[in-house]
Amino acid sequence: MSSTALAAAPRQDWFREKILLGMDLRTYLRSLATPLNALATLLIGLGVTVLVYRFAAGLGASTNLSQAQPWGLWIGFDMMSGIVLAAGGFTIGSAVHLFGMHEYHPIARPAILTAFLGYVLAVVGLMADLGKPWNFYNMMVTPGSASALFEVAGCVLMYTSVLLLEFLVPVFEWLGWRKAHERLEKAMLALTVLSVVFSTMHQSALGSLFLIAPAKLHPLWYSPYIFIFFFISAICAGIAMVVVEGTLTHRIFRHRITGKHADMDKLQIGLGKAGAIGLFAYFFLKMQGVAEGEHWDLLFTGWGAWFLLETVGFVLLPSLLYGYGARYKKVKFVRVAAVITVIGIVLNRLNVSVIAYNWDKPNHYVPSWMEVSVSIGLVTAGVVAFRWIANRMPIMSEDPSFASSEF
Amino acid sequence: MENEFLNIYAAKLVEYGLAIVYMVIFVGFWRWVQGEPAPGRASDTKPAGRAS
Repeated sequence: MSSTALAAAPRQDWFREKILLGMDLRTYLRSLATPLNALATLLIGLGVTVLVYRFAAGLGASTNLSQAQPWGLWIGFDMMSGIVLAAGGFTIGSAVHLFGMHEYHPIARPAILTAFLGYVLAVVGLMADLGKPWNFYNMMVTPGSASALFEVAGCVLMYTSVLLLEFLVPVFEWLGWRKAHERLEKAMLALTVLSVVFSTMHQSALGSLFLIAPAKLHPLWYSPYIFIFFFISAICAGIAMVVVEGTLTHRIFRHRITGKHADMDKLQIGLGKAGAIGLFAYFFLKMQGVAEGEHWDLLFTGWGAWFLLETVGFVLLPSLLYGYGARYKKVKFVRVAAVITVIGIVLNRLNVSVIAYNWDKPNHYVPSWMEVSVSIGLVTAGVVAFRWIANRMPIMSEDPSFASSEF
Repeated sequence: MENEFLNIYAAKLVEYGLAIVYMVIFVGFWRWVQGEPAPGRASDTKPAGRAS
């Protein structure tokens, strides 16, 4: 046997073990033929096709955006909602590594992976909206340092890089690269501090973007405190996403947990306490926004009913449900509250950037089917990527051979 | 020029009033969330099993 053939054999074993989950190529491909995979392929394929069409034909041909309504679903859902739902990474990361709440360590890695994928997909959505992605470097060459948009762009760029580095810890464990893993572990505390700084800056700066549009945004949603609303709601969304995602992944990827299983019910009840307090504060802050603008009369209009549905139905109600679940140790209440919170925060971002934006214009924006298909395709791609990674890499728990890993 | 922060007008009064109401209710809410329920109330969490 030649030396080339001898070298190729371990490489094949590695590929089979790490990528094909121990199966041969044919068996692996056969295992992929499931109805859910077919649906995912269809949705991602449609999204990619529309994206190609968008770059070939332009925004006018593929979206319902106009000069009067330059922001649509890709900003309101992919960017605004994608970023806020990815806040679980810095929320849990700071709780575990900065505040020493090590009991939440088992849910830190899935939260960081969700955050990383969320940011990557949000950036893809943003690129679809902006166009000419090859020009992105201009932001760094000619920084508009007085612009909230520059702060968002800079922080998202840097935070995505930090998340990539944090995600590399399980990647190095998967690859068995001990030296690189060791070096990265030494930098992790600094990376966690950076992640909190960048997240705080851009989660609030996304709200600051609307400070220049007081005449366009409905007065019930516009407030000079809007950047504080965005930051506090990001923390609430982060907690809720960790509960929702933890519930799902703990069931689906149970077989991937090595060593001692964490008591998810207990962890989620602890998160429920934090969620209750966070949402309670957020509700009163929203009321401060109404008080500051003296808009109490607007609460008795149609828009007021919509605003109350968001603030009472999707902020105060889940806060009370979280509180009830935490007090009486009823984890189902915490999970229901988390789902309502996630829906509520997405609704808030859509209200601010799409629904209540240009609210008084005669022709209101409705997204085209192509915009919707790109958004659905991106979400599906995120789910598929999470599953692919979690099935291979030590995301649900650390690799036992890297026992000293603290991150 | 008078400092705007020291001006008292209706909206500011409502804002400060709301903040005080919030703090009062928050203390009660915090104690309710943190507190232990009365004995005998069932919970969802499973008791920790004995290690085999």
